Amino acid sequence: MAESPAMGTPSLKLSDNTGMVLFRGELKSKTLQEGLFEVTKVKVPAKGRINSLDGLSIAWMSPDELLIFLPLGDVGKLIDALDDKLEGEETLIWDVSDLRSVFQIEGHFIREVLAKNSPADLNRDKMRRGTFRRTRFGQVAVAFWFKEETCWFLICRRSEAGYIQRLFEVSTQEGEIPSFY
Amino acid sequence: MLKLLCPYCGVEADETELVSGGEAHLKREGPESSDEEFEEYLFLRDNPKGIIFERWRHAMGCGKWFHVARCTETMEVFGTYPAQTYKPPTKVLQEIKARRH
Amino acid sequence: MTVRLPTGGTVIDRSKPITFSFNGKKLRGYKGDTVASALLANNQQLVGRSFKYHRPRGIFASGPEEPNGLFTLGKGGKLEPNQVGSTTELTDGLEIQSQNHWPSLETDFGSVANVASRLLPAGFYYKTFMAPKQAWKHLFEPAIRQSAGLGKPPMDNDSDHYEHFYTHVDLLVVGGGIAGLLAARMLAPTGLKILLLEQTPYFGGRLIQDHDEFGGSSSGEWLTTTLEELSTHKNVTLRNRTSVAGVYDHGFVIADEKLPDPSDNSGYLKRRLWKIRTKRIVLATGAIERPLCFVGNDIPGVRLASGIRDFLQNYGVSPGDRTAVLTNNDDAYKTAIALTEIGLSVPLIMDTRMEIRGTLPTKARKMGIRVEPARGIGEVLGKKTVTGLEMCSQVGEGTSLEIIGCEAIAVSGGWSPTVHLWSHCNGKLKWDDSRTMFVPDWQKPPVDSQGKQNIFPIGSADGYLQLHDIPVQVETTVKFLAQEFEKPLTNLELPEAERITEEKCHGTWLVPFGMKPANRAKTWVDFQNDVKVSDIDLALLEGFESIEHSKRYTTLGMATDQGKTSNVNGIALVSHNLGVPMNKVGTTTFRPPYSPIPLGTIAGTAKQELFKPTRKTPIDAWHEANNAHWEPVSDWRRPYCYLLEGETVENAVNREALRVRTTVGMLDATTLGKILVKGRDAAKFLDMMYTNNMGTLKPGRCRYGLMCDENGFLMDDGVVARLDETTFLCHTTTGGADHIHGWMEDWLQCEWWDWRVFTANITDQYVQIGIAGPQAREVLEKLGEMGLSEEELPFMSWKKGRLAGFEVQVYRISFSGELSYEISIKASEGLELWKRIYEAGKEFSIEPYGTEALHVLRAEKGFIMIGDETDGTVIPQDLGLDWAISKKKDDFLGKRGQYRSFLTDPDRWRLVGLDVLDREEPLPHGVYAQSEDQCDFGHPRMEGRVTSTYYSPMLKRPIAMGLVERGPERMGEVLKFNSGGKMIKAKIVNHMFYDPDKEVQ
Repeated sequence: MAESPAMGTPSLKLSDNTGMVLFRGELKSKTLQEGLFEVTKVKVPAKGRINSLDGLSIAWMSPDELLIFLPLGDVGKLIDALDDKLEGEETLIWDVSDLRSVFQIEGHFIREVLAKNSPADLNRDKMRRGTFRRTRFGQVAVAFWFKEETCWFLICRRSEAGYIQRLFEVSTQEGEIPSFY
Repeated sequence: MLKLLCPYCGVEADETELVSGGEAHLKREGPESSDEEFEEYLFLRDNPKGIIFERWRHAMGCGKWFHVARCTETMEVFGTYPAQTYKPPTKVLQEIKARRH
Repeated sequence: MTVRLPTGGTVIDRSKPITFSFNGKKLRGYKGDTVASALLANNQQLVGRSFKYHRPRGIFASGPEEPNGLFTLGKGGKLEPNQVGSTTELTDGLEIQSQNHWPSLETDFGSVANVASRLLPAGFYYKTFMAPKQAWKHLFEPAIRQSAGLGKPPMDNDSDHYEHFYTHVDLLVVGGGIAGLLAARMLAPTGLKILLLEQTPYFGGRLIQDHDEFGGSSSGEWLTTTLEELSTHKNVTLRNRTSVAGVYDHGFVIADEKLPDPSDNSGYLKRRLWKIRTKRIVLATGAIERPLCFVGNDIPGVRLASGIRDFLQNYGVSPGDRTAVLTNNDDAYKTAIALTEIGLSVPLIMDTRMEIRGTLPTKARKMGIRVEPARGIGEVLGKKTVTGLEMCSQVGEGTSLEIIGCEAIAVSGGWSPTVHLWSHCNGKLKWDDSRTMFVPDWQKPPVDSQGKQNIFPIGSADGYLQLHDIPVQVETTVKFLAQEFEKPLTNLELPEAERITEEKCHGTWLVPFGMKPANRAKTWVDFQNDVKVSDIDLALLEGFESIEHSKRYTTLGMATDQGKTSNVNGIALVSHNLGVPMNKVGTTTFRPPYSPIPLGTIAGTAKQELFKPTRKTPIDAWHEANNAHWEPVSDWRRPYCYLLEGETVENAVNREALRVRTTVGMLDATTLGKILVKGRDAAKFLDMMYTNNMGTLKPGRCRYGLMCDENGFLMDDGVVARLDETTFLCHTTTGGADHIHGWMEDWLQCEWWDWRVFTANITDQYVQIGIAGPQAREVLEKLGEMGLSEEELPFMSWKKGRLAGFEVQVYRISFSGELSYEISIKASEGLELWKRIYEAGKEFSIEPYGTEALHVLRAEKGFIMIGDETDGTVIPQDLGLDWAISKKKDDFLGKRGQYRSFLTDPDRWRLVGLDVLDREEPLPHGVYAQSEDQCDFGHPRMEGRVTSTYYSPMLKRPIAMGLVERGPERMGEVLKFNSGGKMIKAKIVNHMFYDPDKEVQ
């Protein structure tokens, strides 16, 4: 239960080369699932999950909403391909690359820092690799997930990125992270 | 401080991730309704000491509205279910019956 | 004298002396001391004055139950009032001040109230402050404020830091004493995630001081082994200095952690608020000793027997050379024995019971301590500290049988299980006559969301005070929990404990039983709130018989200690007085927090710039660099105006507004809500959302729309652009975006879930730049690769195109009444385009304008603003917006509401312009117009109010809009507005002050 082990506190940095595409539609539809897979090569995730392959990830936002992450330069191409593939289907596909900020968090004790600001259950059996958790961080809505225990991602609204950065900074002040998770 | 299972995303959401929306299963009254019907729709609400069906939105989550059967006295939860329904599902009613026979 | 003994003190480190000050006096203590133990070690017996009568008061207890020893600690940004001395660790250099006295602790002017105590009986406040009406404000309140109260609030910003921490566990064990540690040790191998919290810096509770052996070895050894074993389990977390403050619904628990002295903790964090979700709670909170009620029981030197023992054994502090003991149970004999063993004198134990046969009394007698059965204290002698006592017969009226000289009196009225947390969430208590205590009623437990018991009291918290009872009782609970969690338990070893016989604690409350009436006014029940036995008598005499009523009438148990030592005695006195059994009287309701939590801890990191989120647009830094004067608009910050060097805010606003009217201005409109609505039924859906017809809008066109709630009241407004056959972009107000998006989703999810519509709040995706003024088009044409002429982009239309190389959408809409474009661009490119427009506009003297100029411009045009002209009771018809309400549609949200009689009343207040007469300045905001006649209450009747008021730089005069009874029918009439008694005249005029024929836009 030592406070702040010497491994150091996590750091947060903006990742500005991430493109994002909003996808709304009836996710249970076979046509949509197949169409999405053909275009992205990534399976539509189960609820609360994020699937990734070769730089493209699809996150489950709600029963009729996905968020696709991919390199910024590929956004236009993907939207055209989806529009093409799913023509006639009822969808809402939109470039939202500028709607949210994507943060990359690196270091140790990331769960603890998140736990200072989010009521989400961060126990390892609940917050697993591939879990895409929409929750709040402080007073604003966010979602987070991780690639490695020492490499997490967090998204929030673009206008609230400054708040997140400052709150993260305060939450990682040296000497005050209880090792818990 | 409630914790409710969002039936859409399966998350056990903290009350601070939710927004409450009052009584569930209200019937909207439109332009054709009488004053009495409209009053009932807009203003008259039950405030029971006991079981209540109510609306919650997973605002800091998937954004979906869902319904909860809850006891206002003990805070027991008998079930949560999607909002696209006119009445509570049988499973929830059975659960209430089982615990409040 | 209370002094530090030459040896002893299990928790102090005599090799680490600490200096501190009390009321400016330099004193010495040791690391490990509490503020209370250090003060006692320095013979500081008088530590404060009581709340009402300013009686001298001393340290009474050694834990959070302490009623008297509250202090102001630190200074400046670290000043904290009302800190409990017996739970606060002493730190090097700590400055301690006593509270509630004037001019000094030793000579308190307020103690005159002591003499006049007959003038301040229970209910005094309720009776006295009824009349005359003026007396409260001018006489009573100032007098009470001067004399009553605790510490003074700090004047500086708190310089310490606080944070919150959320955790989710299977099991929370509250209390790191014998029972809590044992339960954790038994359950640790199950792998359940267990959090054990202990309020003091030490684990083990009273194990070591009260028992030599436990579990077949010395108690110290058992404790060490247990802690070592627990530390090997990764699933178990132990946390000391953490006090659980409250239990809430669905297993939510908050706990207040005091971090160790900053000097050895890098100096950053002071306290942490734990927010715990747990499936089950094991309550091992122990018990608190009760005092007894006798004359002079509040004089410094009278202390709980357990407190005296704690100070002696834990901190090596002597209560004085001679300590008399008053008790109704066997436990207090431990104190007498401990004092005697260390070589101090116990001249007498007065036991209110007739027969005394238990193991401990027998031991005391064998040691030669004088034990007097059936005796009590008639009166305590001494003023600022105890000098002796008069012994009396317990069953008598208090006649002195013998005078005993002593410096301290150890009191024990039995023990009360610490059941607060059990009760926070509806757990009920029952009176157990055989144990003389309120215990948790397992038939009526607090429950979790599934209706199952979720708190399990063990050990003394469940009324099991004897060490040998605890292992078996803990085992039962542990087995039950393991079964519930479906975890097997392997070889539970129950620690052995010495079995002692104990005589029943007698239900003694008042000493002596037949106390004379005059003495009841010198006998305290609640020390902190100065409630005496006579106050309870009076409350009952006046009919406040329900315990909830007598509590409030007397303020018993309502002080910061929440009656930890006084509640049960108060209940017993009520029971006794009314002749009603304890169970019938019942208890008052325990509410969180168990111990007070500083406001700083509750705020956590949400202070100063993090108090609430500030949303910023991508152009924010440019605004900052250009001297923006900020205004909060919902969660955003927006420039109110941009100040030039030496310019006033007022002049800046006028300059900016004139710039738009004369050449061109630019506005950061990014904050306006943008909601995408798409689908086969999108048009049908928007026809329900908006009062006007959106289905008929052509792709490429824009329409101003109004949204009402189901009452019919105007909620939001904005321009809707049709992007294509099935896609619309709805603009909302800055503050309305999230709400309107939620509102749309509510209807789509819960009412019309079969309609095929998707929405998305894409506000942050785009920067929106407003360009307004006669030369707006010329500026944009300099950048343009797109045609923006009247023919190519007529008013209320939009199109895609390129400006300065960027892809943009241009909306030809106007909120200023000028020729105006709103340009929408990806947020990441917004700042660059903003700069390019600013550069291109320089030859037209382009200037950025802020929200206030925007308001002036819209008011000049008579445009309404949600939140100014509307307040949740205004319908569009009141604002002359009938034209935006479709008569053709069968239904829209709010349509039915607007049929109601009071909304169709011709006398409703409606929007008009107001021309102020005889004055250069605008009308004040929000003032009401007063008519000649009177309302039903005899006051002048109000007939209107100002909703917007500005100085118009264009018209060079004040302008205003307001809602006035039948306003539009009363053009030319003069109204009188009451501004703080001063009457201001204004004439009713058309609210379109500037360009009423819409020739310029």
